[in-house]
Amino acid sequence: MPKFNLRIFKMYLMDHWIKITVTLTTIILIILSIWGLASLESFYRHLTLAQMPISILLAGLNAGIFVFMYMIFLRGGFTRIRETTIKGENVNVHWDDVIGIDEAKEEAWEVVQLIKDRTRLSKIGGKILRGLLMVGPPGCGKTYLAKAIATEAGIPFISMSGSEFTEIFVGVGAARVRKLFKKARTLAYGYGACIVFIDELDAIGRQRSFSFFGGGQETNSTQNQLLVEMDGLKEKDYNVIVIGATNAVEGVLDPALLRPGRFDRKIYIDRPSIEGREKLFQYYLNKVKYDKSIDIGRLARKAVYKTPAEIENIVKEAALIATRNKKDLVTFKEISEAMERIDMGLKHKRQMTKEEREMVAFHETGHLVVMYILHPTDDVFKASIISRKETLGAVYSQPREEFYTHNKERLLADIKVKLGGYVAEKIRFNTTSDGVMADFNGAMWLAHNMVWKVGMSDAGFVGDYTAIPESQLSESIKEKLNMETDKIIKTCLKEVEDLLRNEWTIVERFAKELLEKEELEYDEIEQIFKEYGKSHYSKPA
Amino acid sequence: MNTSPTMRMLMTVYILAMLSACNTPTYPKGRVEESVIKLCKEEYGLDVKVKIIGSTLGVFIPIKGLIDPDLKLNQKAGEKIEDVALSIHRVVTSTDMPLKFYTLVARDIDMPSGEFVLTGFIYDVIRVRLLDISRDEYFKRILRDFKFNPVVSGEQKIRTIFEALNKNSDEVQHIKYAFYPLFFISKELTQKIEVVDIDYKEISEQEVLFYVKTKEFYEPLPQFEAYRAIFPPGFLNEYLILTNISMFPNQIKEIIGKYFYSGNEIRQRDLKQVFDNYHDIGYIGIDGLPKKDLQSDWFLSQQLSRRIKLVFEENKKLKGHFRVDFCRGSFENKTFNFEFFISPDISSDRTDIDIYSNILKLIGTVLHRYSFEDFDAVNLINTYDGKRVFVTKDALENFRRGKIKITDII
Repeated sequence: MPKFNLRIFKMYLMDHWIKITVTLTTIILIILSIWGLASLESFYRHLTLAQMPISILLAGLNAGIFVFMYMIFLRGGFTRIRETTIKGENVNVHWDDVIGIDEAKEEAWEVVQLIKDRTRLSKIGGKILRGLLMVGPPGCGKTYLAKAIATEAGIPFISMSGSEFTEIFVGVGAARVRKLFKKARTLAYGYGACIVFIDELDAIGRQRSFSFFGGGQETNSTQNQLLVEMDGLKEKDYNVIVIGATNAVEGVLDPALLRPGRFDRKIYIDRPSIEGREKLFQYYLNKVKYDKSIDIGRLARKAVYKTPAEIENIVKEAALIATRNKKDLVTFKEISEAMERIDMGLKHKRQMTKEEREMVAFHETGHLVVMYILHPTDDVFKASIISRKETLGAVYSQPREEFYTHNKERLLADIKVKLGGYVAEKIRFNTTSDGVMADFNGAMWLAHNMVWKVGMSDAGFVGDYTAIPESQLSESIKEKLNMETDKIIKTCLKEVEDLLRNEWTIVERFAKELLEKEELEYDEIEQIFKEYGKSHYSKPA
Repeated sequence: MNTSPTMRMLMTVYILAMLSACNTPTYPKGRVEESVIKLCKEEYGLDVKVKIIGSTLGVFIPIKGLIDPDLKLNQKAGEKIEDVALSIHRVVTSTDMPLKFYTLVARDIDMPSGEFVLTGFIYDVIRVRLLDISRDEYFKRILRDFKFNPVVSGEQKIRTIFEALNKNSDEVQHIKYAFYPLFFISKELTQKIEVVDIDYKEISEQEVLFYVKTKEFYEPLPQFEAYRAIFPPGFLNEYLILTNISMFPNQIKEIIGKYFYSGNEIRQRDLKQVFDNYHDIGYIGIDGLPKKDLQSDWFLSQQLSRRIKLVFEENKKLKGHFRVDFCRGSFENKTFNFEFFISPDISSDRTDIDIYSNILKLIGTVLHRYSFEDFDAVNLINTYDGKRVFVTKDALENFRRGKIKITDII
């Protein structure tokens, strides 16, 4: 006979005190009820018992009404999760619908195969895929790709946003994670596998923090639960694959999430390349009536850095503009307008004095001419003196192709372009306006970083001086570095001033055109420069 | 399905609790009388007598000072009656004995003919406790009588008379020769009458017919010595005595002896047969306990007769427009008979139509609520103008449902 162990008994009590208390209380209440009933005369006993079913029913109804009211008015249901469950075949996003992110697709296809061949994989002892992390900027098709995976694999798909787990109450998020996985396991049991898609994973996947004040405990406990659910001790291994999506850089996420056995496969989904953008434009344009003469390649070039979501938005906006303009087809003009509207916002006319308008026109012309003639990578595609958002005018540019780095020439060109407005104002009016504030700020920031951070000064200061605590930097070094910054600005300023004085005829022409037309399109700008025999900056041989 | 042991245990206890409903009643059949006596004694310190006839439970309680000098029910006595009624209600609602009616009789110890009688239908008690009927409706369904009992009063008077006869008191000089042959053939002050048995029948609300058996002793007058052969001392005699309580205190209305002298010979009547021919309308005995099992038809006829009177006294639309002297109800040959005196006020514009429509509406509704179907017709007689209205069961139901009008009936 096993010996009674007081310590184990106490441990059992500590572990199960809630269950024991509830059970004992229920038993006592039942005994008291029976005792009470037995002490009643049979008429009242029968009456009480006869009322019990309706009492239970009414109590249930009462509770139902309370819960309903609570949910409606107090947005209760702490642990209620609003995940959407869809069967794989009903997700309705097919593999061919995912375009513009071919590399990511290739990697994802492998994942699909792994999900499909799980049994075979298990047999040969291969590693079973548990999690897939999709990282990339917003709107690049992470959710879309996840849905396509679900469709191709033909399994149920539960979608939730990471922010839906977070609550002010500690433990609620963890409870939601438990519920989510419980449901996923049930679906996996029924359909063979299940995909849990957690969008904005960084909301719960950030590196755990520990605070004496208890801050961040909710996120920590939610994440801990997620870790346990993904790779914890479970009775049975269910085929639940977690796909997380985030636009946070990898360092933001907790390392425990990224270790093998959890999100052990990562797919980087970046903005589409020029070919990708072409395919995307083609795909979305096929969904509307469009002018077949549109040069889709030109559109793709114009939409540098645009994400698939943005391209879809551009085409939809263009269709709306075409409808508003009572046109049957979407033409290049509508698409162009849609891009501007999305990028620059809606136009709104401000009442300005003649002098102010002139000042703005010359300012913008300064930017325009400097950019066209001096910038090695960017094209001007529009100049405007119509107010948009906070600006009174603008020169819109974009790189001719994707660049992921900036070289010294490009940075200097950026500074020169920013100084162009100031110089033009000064030459024309012999005075300047506060419209240069943002330009100067940008130019100074670039010059400062060139010197302090990336070793682009001529004086040979190489290294990131911001990495050194400021107190440990000598005043002389600081002074020298700042002198270098100043030197870059002054050199650029001189160069710009020389350029504009030399090309003042062109400047005046553009200013005149802008004052007349208010906006100049790429083609018009190109035309005017051609009139003066000017062409884009070309790299010196 | 996997159920945790705790859950299984709780479910078992719950089912056991549910099964506890299938236990024996608190006051089982066979212990009903005992239970009422015990409850009254233990909880209220009251001594009661209980008797069950068929499905009728009768309870009697003698109370000192039941009636106040102003002939009203004493308040404390009323509280005792309530206590006994509550005990009855507790027992009849928690027993498996199929009881239908109960009677509660409270009599004044000092004035035994003064009594308070409560008669009720047990299902009404259950319904009012389940709030299925209102308390007001419940009180209308109870028969409550606070009266002088003609039987008790008559019996007392008869015994007094016989005592007076034995003493040859002055008060009986005018009636003593009705007791033939004793006072014709015997010597003065030798007569002695022993009452052997008294039976009685209430033949109307006020009249009681007593059947009295006596044993009579005497010394014959010399000329009637020969009568010893026929009426030896201690011979058995019989009398029928009719009393009417409205004639109180001299309520003896008629005395008929068994023997009478006619055609030069002594003849005798079969008084037992005569007595048996009368119908007893009373249901409470001299002992305050029920004489017979009450029936639904009788109960409904009595309840309705009281409610008809109430309608004309309490209904705001009728009050003041009619004078109601009495209303009597009975049930014979599957017909409810209601005899009443209801006269319209001279200044009122109300007519017969108001009288009969209200009465029939009430009767139809009450019988419907009791789901009483075992009758053929309702017979109404207004003694004010002698008008009779006979309504069949179907016509009554159609009138209740509004399918026919009162003018189609009367």
